[in-house]
Amino acid sequence: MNIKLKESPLFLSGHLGELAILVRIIKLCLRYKKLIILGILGVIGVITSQLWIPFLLGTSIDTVYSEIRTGGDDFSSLWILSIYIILASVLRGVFHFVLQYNGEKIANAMSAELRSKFHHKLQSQTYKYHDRIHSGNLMSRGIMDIEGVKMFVTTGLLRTFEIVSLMVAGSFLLLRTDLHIGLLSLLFIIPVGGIASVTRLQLRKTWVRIQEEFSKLNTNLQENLIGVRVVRAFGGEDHEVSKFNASHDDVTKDTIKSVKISANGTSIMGFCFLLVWALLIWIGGHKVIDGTLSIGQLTQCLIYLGMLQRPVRMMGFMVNAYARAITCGLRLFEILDSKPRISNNGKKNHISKIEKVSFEKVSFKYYRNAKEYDLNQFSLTLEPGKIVGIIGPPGGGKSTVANLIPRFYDILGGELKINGESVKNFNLTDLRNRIGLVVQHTFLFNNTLGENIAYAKPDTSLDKIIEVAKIAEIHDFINSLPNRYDTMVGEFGVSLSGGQKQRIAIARNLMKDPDLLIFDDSFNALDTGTDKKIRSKLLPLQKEKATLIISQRVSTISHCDEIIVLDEGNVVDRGKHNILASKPGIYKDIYELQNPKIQGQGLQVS
Amino acid sequence: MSTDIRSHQANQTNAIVEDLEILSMYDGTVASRFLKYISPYKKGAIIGVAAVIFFTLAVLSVPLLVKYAIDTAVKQGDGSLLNIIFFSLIGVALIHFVSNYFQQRIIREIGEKILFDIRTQMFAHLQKLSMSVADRSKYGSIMSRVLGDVGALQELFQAGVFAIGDILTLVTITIIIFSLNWSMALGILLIMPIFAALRIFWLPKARKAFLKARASASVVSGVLNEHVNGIRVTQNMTREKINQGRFDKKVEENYADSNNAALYGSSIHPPVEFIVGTTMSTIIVLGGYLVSGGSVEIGVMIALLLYIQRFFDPIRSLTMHYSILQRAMASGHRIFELLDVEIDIKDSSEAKDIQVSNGEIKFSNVDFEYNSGEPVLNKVSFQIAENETVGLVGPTGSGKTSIASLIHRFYEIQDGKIEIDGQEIRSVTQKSLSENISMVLQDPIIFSGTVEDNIKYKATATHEEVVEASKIVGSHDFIQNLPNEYDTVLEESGANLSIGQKQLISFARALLLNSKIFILDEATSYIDSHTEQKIQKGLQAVLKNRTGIIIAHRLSTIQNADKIIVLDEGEIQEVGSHEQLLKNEGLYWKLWNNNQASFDDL
Repeated sequence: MNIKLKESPLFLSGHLGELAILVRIIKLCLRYKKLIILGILGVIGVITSQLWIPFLLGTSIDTVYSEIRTGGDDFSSLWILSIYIILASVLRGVFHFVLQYNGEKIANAMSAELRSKFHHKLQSQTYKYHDRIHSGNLMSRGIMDIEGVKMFVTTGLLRTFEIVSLMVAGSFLLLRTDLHIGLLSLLFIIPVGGIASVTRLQLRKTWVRIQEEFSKLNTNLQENLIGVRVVRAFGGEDHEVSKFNASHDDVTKDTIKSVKISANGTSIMGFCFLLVWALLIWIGGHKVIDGTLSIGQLTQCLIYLGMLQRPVRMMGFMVNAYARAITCGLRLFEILDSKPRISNNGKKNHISKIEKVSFEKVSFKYYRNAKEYDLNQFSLTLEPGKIVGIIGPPGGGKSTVANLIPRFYDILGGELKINGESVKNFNLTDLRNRIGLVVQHTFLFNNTLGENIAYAKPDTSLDKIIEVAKIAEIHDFINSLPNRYDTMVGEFGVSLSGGQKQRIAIARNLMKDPDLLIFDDSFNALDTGTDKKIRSKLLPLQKEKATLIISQRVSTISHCDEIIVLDEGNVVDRGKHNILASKPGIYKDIYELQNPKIQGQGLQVS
Repeated sequence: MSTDIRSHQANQTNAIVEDLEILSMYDGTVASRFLKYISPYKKGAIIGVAAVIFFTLAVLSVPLLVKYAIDTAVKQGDGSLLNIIFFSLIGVALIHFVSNYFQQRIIREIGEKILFDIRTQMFAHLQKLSMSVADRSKYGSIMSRVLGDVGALQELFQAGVFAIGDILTLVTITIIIFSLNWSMALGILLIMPIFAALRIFWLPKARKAFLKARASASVVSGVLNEHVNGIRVTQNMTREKINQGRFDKKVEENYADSNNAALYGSSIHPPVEFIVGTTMSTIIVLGGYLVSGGSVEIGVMIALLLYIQRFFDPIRSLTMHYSILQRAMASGHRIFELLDVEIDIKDSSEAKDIQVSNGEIKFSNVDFEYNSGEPVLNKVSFQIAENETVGLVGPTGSGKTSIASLIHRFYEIQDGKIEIDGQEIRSVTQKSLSENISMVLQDPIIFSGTVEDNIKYKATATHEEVVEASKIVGSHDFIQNLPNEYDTVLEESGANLSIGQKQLISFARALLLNSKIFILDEATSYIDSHTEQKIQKGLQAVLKNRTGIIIAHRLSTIQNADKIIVLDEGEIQEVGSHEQLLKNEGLYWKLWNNNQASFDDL
């Protein structure tokens, strides 16, 4: 099948507001009530113990100071304070543990659920959907975007709660201790928080660009390695080096740009912090001299301020996590909300055997707005014992016929009937179970050869696997491998040739014991000898099954009961081999091209 | 393709596990070789280190200034002294600002430049390796070395410089607190080793749990990747439910591993906070007694409270840098391993550019093997005259593709001689050799970029020349139907083209090189009869004034060549025209008579 793909951006559900995405993620988290409650408990505990410590330290300093001023030496209260300090610290550690552990658990649980849903959605989506969206695109959504949403939960949600409460409570305590100092610290929070957020957002933009440039570099390297023969054959080494260096240069330039942005941000924030620190000592010092503030209180303020420094800087990370979650969430929910156009919804008729498949003036096109139909007014009947062949130039609509029967695509016009009833009335799983569609390029899973053959029925006995492998002429090869059917695909340098893969695909479909066998150009990588052998072994099976063979090779279909010649979606001829081969037309052209001996003269080469 | 991605992931996972196993590896050669990459940026590195020192000192002077503020100015009620301290703090803030900016910027910038230097050197080295090395290497492994390992090695530089700051911080704080009060300093210092020991004990365990979670996450990605790429088979086999179950199982495993990692990651907090709390309590109690005894000022207590906050950070980052160092060493090893792969096919010192006018090719008694002891070509001799078209046929493994590769000097022959227009190919530059031979390979390679970029490849041709070449090989028609014609951007590996279309582009690309010798290495074997027919027509025009070698297994492809060479098991069996070979009644005749189209049918 040769559909020209234009990677169109997904239909963006524009009405989904940015806030709505965050709300949706939060809603997903809220389902883990126990963990959320534990997390909130952790936050409250951390803040309480965190704010208790500076107070204890300040009180201790004041205790010492008042004792030496009064000349006393009663330090029993100091011992009690020091025990409190240890207690407060341990509590802070324990609550921090509770907070972080449960927070990450929420994120893990949510991402596990999202992954499962994502996988389920992709499994149920149609061919058309997968034709349109590149697998790399789907993978990056399934991995990176779920990671982004996960990060929002860990560094976003509970952290936000923690940081905001810490800042509010801390500022309140500072304001209560001393109005001027309290205001001073608030003055520090606003610009530093602002710089942190702006810096992060700028960095985010640069990072996205660096990521794109890096993936270009990655492609560059990959293409160079895959295309090594072309590079050597064209003497393109220098060209490749300059291409690689140029794209690496982009990465380096933007990385250095991001370094500048972050160096700028952090050094300004550090400066602001020290400036406030200096002001605090200056104003606070004068207040102590004036007697309106104690040394202990000043110490307390200094430690508070130190404590606020980290959360204020963290605001940048939070803003980043929110921004990322919005982009990632949008991309992710787009997939999760998509509805498969072909599905099993509603009660559909079961089917136990396909007795008859009939195309009645069926029309179809891959792109709705395309001018021409990819298959036009096509009619055909398939019945047990009958073998039908289809031949014709590429793009003529041959594979389309094959893919319409199991409803990998739905027809646009005419009628496609199974046992006299519309194909749409049947249960999808039932229908597909009765059809064995062997495609030209099959996909082998990272599994043993045996399991790849038994893909449709994983619990099958080895005897059954061997039986179908023998029919598909692949048994001898597999048997010659050290681990036979247990050989992993790709193991011991066992890379299968195109022909071997096709034979596994044939075996795989025979495993289903279908009523209808379709071979979609699935003999083309086999030499004509093996092709012939397999077809003769299939003959007894085909007596009870309907068969459709699609091929570019005349020798593969010449024995068929009926041969259809398709060109540009239209049936241009149909009949038996002898008749078609004897009258001028596409069929005769192909036949003579493939059998130069018959024509007596081949192609003019020089 | 997907198998390669998986092995790439597996490689990375293995690399991580390896790192864990060689924990205490310190490789002197890696370190000293790495130093060479720093030397071009010596000046910057010195400034960077200086900035780190200034930054550290600025940070550490703050608590001392606080102490003076409280003990001298505040206690004595001297407001003017307080003002001086205020301005000193502003000064420190400025030094902090400047040094912080430079330490971050210079060090990371140099890091990026080193990364660039190593990576481009590796890439350039890869271009010089011969095909026999390329055949043997797994490209997933090379990818992870060039992309992943270089990143890890670059971290070594940054971690190294920042470690200087950390050590400086520890030493300076130790000196300061001892000079403030030795007995309190001793109390604090006794607690610090416990902290360090705790981290050294905890870090490898936490890291292992974390890596396990990451490994099982990559398994999840691997399964997802497989199921996405195999979706058509899955739906065809109605295996959606089973696959969902398999995927969910992996997700659950990763869920358990991630939670375990979270447990390890967060369990460090209570013991660490206990140590911090104990240290503060020590300062409070011990300080209280000392202050009341009059041997210590109260400001010292405050300064110490502020210092210990800074004492934990460098220990934390030093223990972290330690693991970066280990990773970098392992990465450095893999990088230098690649750079040390010897370039086995080099231009000889007196190599000249080849001069090709007629395009005559001559093989004399050529022996060749890919692996020693497994001969592929055995005493092969033949000659191809100017403008002659020769077909090379033979069963799989007969050595026909090797001949094409050898003309190009992809591999070195063991014995004999290969000449082009009388010049031995080992005596000329490889670059000039490549530029005088056009080659179309079995698998068409498409680079990312536009159609025109792909046809041009490295040639500096005008648009008109590109179109002309494209018209000759018969690719012009379909290109014109593409959305942006010649400017259409092709997807990764040309996913939006059929294999026949890709091959037509390869033809145009080879033609644009405009060389006297033209080799088709099984170039039409994946192509359907219709497209081949088109290509054959283009080929007639192309080969008119060129020496051509056509390697094929379909007999119809080479039937009308001037001369057909039949190879079997590395030896030439027959040579002659189609008619002559039929008269010979040999291998070729046998095949032809059985009415079989291809040599692989034997």
